[in-house]
Amino acid sequence: MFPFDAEVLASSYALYNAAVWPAQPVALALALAALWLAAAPRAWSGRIVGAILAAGWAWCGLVFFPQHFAALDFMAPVYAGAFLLQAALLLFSLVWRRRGLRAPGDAAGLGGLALAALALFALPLISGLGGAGFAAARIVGLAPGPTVLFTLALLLLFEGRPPWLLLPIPLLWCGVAAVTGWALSVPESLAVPVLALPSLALFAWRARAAK
Amino acid sequence: MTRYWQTSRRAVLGGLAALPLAGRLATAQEAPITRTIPSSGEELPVIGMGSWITFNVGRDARLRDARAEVLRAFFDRGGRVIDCSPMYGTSAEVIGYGLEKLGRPPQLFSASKVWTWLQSDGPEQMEEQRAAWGVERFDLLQVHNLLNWDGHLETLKQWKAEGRVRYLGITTSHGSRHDEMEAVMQSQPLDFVQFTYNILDREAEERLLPLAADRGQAVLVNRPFRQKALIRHVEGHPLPDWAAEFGATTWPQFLLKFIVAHPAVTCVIPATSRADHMAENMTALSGPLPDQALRRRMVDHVESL
Repeated sequence: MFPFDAEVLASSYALYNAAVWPAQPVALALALAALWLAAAPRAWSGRIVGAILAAGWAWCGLVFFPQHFAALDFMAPVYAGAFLLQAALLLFSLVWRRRGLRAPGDAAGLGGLALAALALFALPLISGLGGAGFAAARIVGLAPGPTVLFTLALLLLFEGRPPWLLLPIPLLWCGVAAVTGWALSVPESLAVPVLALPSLALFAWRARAAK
Repeated sequence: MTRYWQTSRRAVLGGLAALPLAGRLATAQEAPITRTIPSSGEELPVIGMGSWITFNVGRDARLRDARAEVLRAFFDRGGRVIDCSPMYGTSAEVIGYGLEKLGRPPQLFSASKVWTWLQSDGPEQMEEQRAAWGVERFDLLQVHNLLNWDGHLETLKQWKAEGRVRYLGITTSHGSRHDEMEAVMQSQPLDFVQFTYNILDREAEERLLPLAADRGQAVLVNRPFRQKALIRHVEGHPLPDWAAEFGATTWPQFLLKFIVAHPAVTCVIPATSRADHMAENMTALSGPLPDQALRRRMVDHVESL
């Protein structure tokens, strides 16, 4: 039961992108920096990547949902709270606890890098090649869908046991996106749970390999 | 199992008996079909307009202009009742934009709702809605989905006494909470009630519609097409020949006439984002209405599709 349709959703992303310009190149630069740090990790890389991920979630919780999406959807405050909570969890788990990144040598690491790169470009391409257009592209760090996918992929590259505490909220958003995509026939939303599945499979593979 | 027409209330049956005559009169004059608000005697056209989803278009100027054209099609064809809610996002702003663009049609009958847990938040929310519409006062304010209905009705009674609103009411939808709805209808001095009723969702025929007739409460009907599901259910099937008996030439007209033929219904409020669909909906505002036998046949036919 969504209070808007697909055309309005695309229009709202286009207006949002116009309103926050030039945040897009900044967000993409930060995401590419995170990707580079994950591909060639140093001792402090985990904290920087964690902070970049938390910044994307915090932006969605402080700017996207309350200032732009709230006009359309009465659920926006709930989503904003969840994204802010995830930002806090990322800061605690990755930055505060100084969790390190590992060299991406195994399937989970290489897969995580590939999926993170995909998260940067897949959803904007779906928008651009579909009906919504590039103006309505969902950009990592600025929109919830790609932020969730990018986070799930990069979490595969952190040392130690899979960070289970950091998975529930992204998974819940995958559920919201799945229902949105299905109910409103929005390919960008449907792509979120579909593209999250490989990351989840790699988490399971890592957990099993660690036993 | 099919439930056709189980009410035994005199008022409703009396209304049904009069339907064929009402239909012939309407045919002769092609006048808009109207119903009376029992608490005041004011007449309202039986086709109104909802705004759930369809008017929540945000700040997009192109979409706002398109919705203004929907409003134009509505008013040009005799429409008056527009229903909204604070739950519907930017719908109130978009309605206000359209009304301003059309020069504030004087025939507007404005209906909105209060939808918040706290009674103390109600006045501010209703005032925000009023400002968004750009009206001096609402004609009708309803407690949305019975949320804190006792608290908000207390406020609305006070507002009505002060002349800040003309009518008050309560709403539900999707066939939910009919027991509670019935209890409030029994105990409160309501001018309007709003609930779901359509050719496949006919639970309201059992208790709510007869009770509204008995209690002198006007009835707004929401979800006449089950959002779009009923249209999808019938599209692709030819309209039966006998639909011509009550002047139906399209499926939306067929489905709307089924609803407004119930004598306890005051106004049905279909929502659309398209001016051509609005024009199509408004064709149900005139011409004959199906009698009880035809309504039964309509149910059988749609259920068989």
